[in-house]
Order: sequence, then C-alpha cells, then structure tokens
Amino acid sequence: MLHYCINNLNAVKRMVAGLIELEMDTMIEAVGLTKRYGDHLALDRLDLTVQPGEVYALFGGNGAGKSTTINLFLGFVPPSAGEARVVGIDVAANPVEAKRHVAYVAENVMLYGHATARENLQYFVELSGRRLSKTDAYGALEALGLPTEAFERQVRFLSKGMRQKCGLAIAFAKGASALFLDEPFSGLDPLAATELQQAIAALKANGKAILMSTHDLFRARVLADKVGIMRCGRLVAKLEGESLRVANLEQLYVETMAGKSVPA
Amino acid sequence: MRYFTIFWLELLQATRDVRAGLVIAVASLFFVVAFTQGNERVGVTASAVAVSTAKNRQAWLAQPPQNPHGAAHFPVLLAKPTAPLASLVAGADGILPGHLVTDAHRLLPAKGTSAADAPFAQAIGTLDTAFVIGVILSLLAVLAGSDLVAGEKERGTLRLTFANPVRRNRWLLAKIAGRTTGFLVAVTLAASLALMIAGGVVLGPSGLYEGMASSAPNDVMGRLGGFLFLSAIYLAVWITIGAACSVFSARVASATLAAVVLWIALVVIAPRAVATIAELGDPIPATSPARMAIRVEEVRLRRQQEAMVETLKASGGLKGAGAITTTEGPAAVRDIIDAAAARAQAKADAPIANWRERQLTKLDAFGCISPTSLYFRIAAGFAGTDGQRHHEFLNQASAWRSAFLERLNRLEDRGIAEFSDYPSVAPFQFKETASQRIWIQQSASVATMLCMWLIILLLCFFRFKHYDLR
Repeated sequence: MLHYCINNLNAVKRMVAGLIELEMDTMIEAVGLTKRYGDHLALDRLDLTVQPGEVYALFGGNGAGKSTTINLFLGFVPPSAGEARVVGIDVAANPVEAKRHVAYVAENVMLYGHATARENLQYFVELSGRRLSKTDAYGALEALGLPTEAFERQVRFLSKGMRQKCGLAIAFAKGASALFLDEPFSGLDPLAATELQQAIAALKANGKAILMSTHDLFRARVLADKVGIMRCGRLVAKLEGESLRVANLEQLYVETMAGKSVPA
Repeated sequence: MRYFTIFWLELLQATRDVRAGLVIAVASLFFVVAFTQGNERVGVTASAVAVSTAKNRQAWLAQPPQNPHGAAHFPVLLAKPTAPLASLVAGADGILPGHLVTDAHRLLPAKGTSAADAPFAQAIGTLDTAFVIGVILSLLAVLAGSDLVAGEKERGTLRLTFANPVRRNRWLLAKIAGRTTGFLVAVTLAASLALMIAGGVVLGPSGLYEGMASSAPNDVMGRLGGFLFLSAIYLAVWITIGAACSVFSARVASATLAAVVLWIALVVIAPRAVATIAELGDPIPATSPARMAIRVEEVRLRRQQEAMVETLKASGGLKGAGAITTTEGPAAVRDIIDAAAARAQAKADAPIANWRERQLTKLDAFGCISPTSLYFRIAAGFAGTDGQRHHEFLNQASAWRSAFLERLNRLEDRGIAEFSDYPSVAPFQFKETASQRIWIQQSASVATMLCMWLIILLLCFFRFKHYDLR
C-alpha cells in the first residue's frame, strides 16, 4: 500500500481530494475576502458560501466588485486579506490544486478560433488533467445543446451563443465541482439565453456549485438559490430561501443601488 | 502531457493561420533570390579563377627560356578555393580578395571580378541566405512572437487557460516551443519550395558542390548542420524576443510596436552604433606617414644594396653584369634586403594592423549585444567565409610564395629555367587547417547564442510570473 502511495502520489492526492469533496457541504466559500488596489478598496470583507447544487447570483453595477470576486476565486489576483476557498482549498495558498475543481465561463467565451469546437473542448479538458475521447467530447457538446454540425467547425465561425455553450460544455466535461460564470447571458438573444439558462440548470441539477455574476434579474430569479447585491466592493444585500422567493428583486436592486435599502 | 497538448495546439493553430502562409510566401521569395544569387556569386568567382589560372599557365609556358631571375618576376596567380558554404553566406569573402598575384617582390590582391559579370547582384545588392535569415526572417519571427501572450489576453483565452491547473512558466515554455516549431516548419517548407523553384542551385555544380569539392565532404556536412542549427536557434531567439515584448504588454498593438522598435534597434542601429563607439577615441591611423616611412626605407635599402654590390664587385665576388650566378654574395645581399624590406613593411603596416586588431576585439566583445551581429559572425565561421579563413589563406599563400621562390633559386643553380619545369613546382593548394580549433570556436559562439536565448527566456518567465491576468 505504502509502495502504491509513493508511486502514485498525485493519484492519491486526487483520491483524497475527491473523498473530501464527497463529504464537503461547501464548495465555494469566501471568508472576509478583501482586495485593495493601492488606495482603492475593490472588495471589502466578502463572506459567502455556495453548496453543491446551488446557484449564487451576484448583482451590482460596474465596479461593484463582482469580477474582482471571481478573479480572486480563480487565483488571478492575490487577496489583500481573507480567504477564497474552493472545495476547502485556499486558492491563494494552493492555486494549482484548487483549480482542479474549478471551471470558468467568461462573459465572452473566447476559444482558439482556428481550432474546432471539439478540439477546443478536448484541449481545455486536458489542461485540467483529464483525457477525453472524441466520442466523449461529442457527448459533452451534445449534452449542452450544441448542434451536431458545429462540432467540427472552427470556433471563429460559431455564434456567441454557441461559444457560450462550448464554454459550459468544457465546464461540464472537466467534471469541475465549482463553476464561476461571469455575466454569461450578456449579449445573447432571448432564444440563446434561454438555451443557456437550461444548460446552467442542467449543471445545477448535476450537483455543481455555481457562482454567477449577472445583470439579468429575470434569469437569476429562475436559477439562483442565493442572491447577493454588491455596491462599491461590499455585499450590501443578501437573499436566500423564502426571502428570495417573495422579494421584488428588481425594486430591491434599484433601491440598493440608489443606497436607500441595505438589507442584512 | 498537458504541456505537450499546449505545444500541439499551438502547432495546430499555426498550420491553419493565414500568417503561416504569409511567412512561407515571403521566405520562399527571398530564398529563391538568395539561392540564385549565391549560385551566381560562386559560379562567377569559380569560373573567373579557372579562366585566370588557365591563362596564367599558358603565359608561363609560352615564355621563351630566360634566366631564373626573370622567371621570378613572372606574376603567379594564387586562388583562394571556394569556401564550403560560400553559396549560402557571402561573409567577408564579399569584400576580401579571392585571389592574389605574387612574384619575386610582391604578394598583392588580384583585380576582382567585374560587377557586370554578376548582373543579379549588381541589380539588388548582395542578398545571401544568411541575410534572408538574419534580417528578413528575424523580422517575421519577432512579429510571430509578439502576440504570443498579449494576443491570448486580448482574445480572452488566457483567463480560460489559467482557470485550469496550469503552471505559468511551463505554459509559456510550451507556447514558445510550439510557436518556434511552427515557424521553423514554415521556414523549412519555404526553403524546400525555393530549392524546387531555383532548380537545385545550392547543390548544383557551382553551388554547394563547389564547396564540397574543395573540402572534405564530412566537414561540409558538419558545417551545414552547424549553420542550420545556428539558424534555428537564432530564429528561436527572435521569437522569444517577440514573446518578451508580448509579456511586457497587455495589447497586441503595443507588443508589435515594441517588437519592431527592438528589431530596428538590434538589427539596424546596434551594429553601426557599436562600430561608431569602437572608433570613438581611437580613430583610424593616417596611412600617409606609414607610406612615407616605407618610401624612405626603400630608398635607404636601395642605397644599401648598391653599396653592398659595389663592395662585392670590388672584391671580385660578382661575376658578369646582368646575370646572377651561384655566388654566395648576391644571395646573401638579396636575403638581407628582403628581410629588411619585410621588416619595413611590417613596421609601416603595424599602426593600421594594430588598430584593426583592436577594433575587431571591440566588435567581437560588443557584437554580442545584437543577436544579428553574432549570427552573421558565426554563420560566416560555419561557411568558411570569415576573416580567419582568409588570414589562413594569406599565410599559406605567403608560405607557398617562399617555397616557390626557393624552387626558382634551385633552378637558378642550373643557370637557365626551363618553363616546362613549372609542373614540378607544386601548385598552390589551400588546406583547411586547424579544423578542431574552428569547431571549438564555433561551439563557443553557438553557446553564446544559446545563453542569449536562455537570458531572454528567463526574463519572460520572471515577468510572466507577475503578469496581470485580469
């Protein structure tokens, strides 16, 4: 056994991480997360948790701190204070290990234009350390609703909606337990946005923990289990469960942005 | 495995990118011109030397019998054989004389071939393969590298990539390796295409074949291998310089601008700046005092010679006027005068020679600032068109001249030189010497180029570690 452990240290590490993941209630967690750029406070003591099968929607105007939050969870910038944890792993302390459990879908999913949708999928999944056969790649693209004829088309010829679906297919195929979506509905036509919403719902049903920044209140109401409204780097409103179900999200958002209401 | 995937995708992208086609088209065009001109240059030189040598031999054999002193005044042509890779790299051979004329008193550069004999070179200037790689392809390489990171950032793929468990430096290394391999594959295709279009001029009878015929084939293949390896490293250096510009910029436009500015600085400005700086405070010595010194010395020697001959005549040592005999006396006079003349010449040439030596040392030392200067120097070394080979030629020509005169002196013993004896005087044959030393020097130079690459890579790694992925 010891011999096996020594020879397969990385595999053992992943196995242990997997076991921890099974036991884990909290997939995404921010504890007093703070980011300061010089004198500018971009994020101020953010606390949030996302459980498996939950969607946490972050609202806020430009510069509210939504993208900074995602950047901190992806390890793109180090925190000034606090911790961003994914599957219990501190991202700043162990970014490579934390990113094994992470998938990211940007506002504009930009893939390698000269490679096909399938090649992009296989490439990004292999970056996460997994091998994916051609058949599995087709399966993942199909599961996220990409038309069959687009599988072997170079990505530069795909529409934005199709590229977003590719991005979600990558997240799905990676088997990541924590997903970070940065304004995924931005710029999509209603049909494409609805299809994307269904794809996100499928991932949620699959047990993924999703942290999403968005301006789309309507879709957030349908998808989200928790909602946070940010202003000037602070989480100024937080809704979940019954309070979220009964809230007038649009009115609350407008009032919060205007600084009239600051719910707990 | 995942870093090989990064490398592979980079290569795959290159095969589908329109820029790869552009590189192939531009490189093919210039390679065709360079190969054609290289062939023309080598062919013209080789045929000119062959014609001159044949004419020289005919003239020797057509002479009426005369005394050996007259024979010693017959101008003999000493030709430098074609350098192993002369058709690829013109090097110093483009400006140094290819053959010399010698007689009893002279060892001078022969008149070069007429520019009219090489109309292509006359029309567009010297454009050899080393120039295509050193200047044209280096520009394409630096441009190819300049969007390596900034392009990924601008397209948004950088964030998606680093949302995965990927280590920054390994990713960068895989990307640079992929981009470099793609570029080199494109250049190889272009060179192959050019070979097909230009009809094998490099390997043809006047091209590389000429070099191979004049050297050991193994040596030529080694030199060719060295040249190709050096060229690959050199282009990798430029792609990495482009990547460094990219790592220091957030946008492709600024990275490209920085790459072009750096290319102009290192390829166009640096070599001239280094030469100018090397001359500052150490201007070239005026030649007129040296020439005057030689003239004064010549007059002094002539007077000395006349005095010695008078003394010999008075003592009865010199018999008959106008004919040199085997008497020891005149030979001794000639040796003394020759040695004194050589010393005077060396003394007169010393300031210029020393200055040139100092300049070369400085240029060698500061030449490393620019990869292009370094590349041209090493490429000429591999090709055999460098100054060192030329100096060896001069030394061997000088030694052969001494041996030739010695031979005539021996003919002198018979009183009359029969010019059918000419074949018995071993013709001049240049031998590639000190090949081991050349290889050590070349290896050290290539190692310098590799160090340059490593330093730029480390700079990229250091910067990319702190690159803003937001």
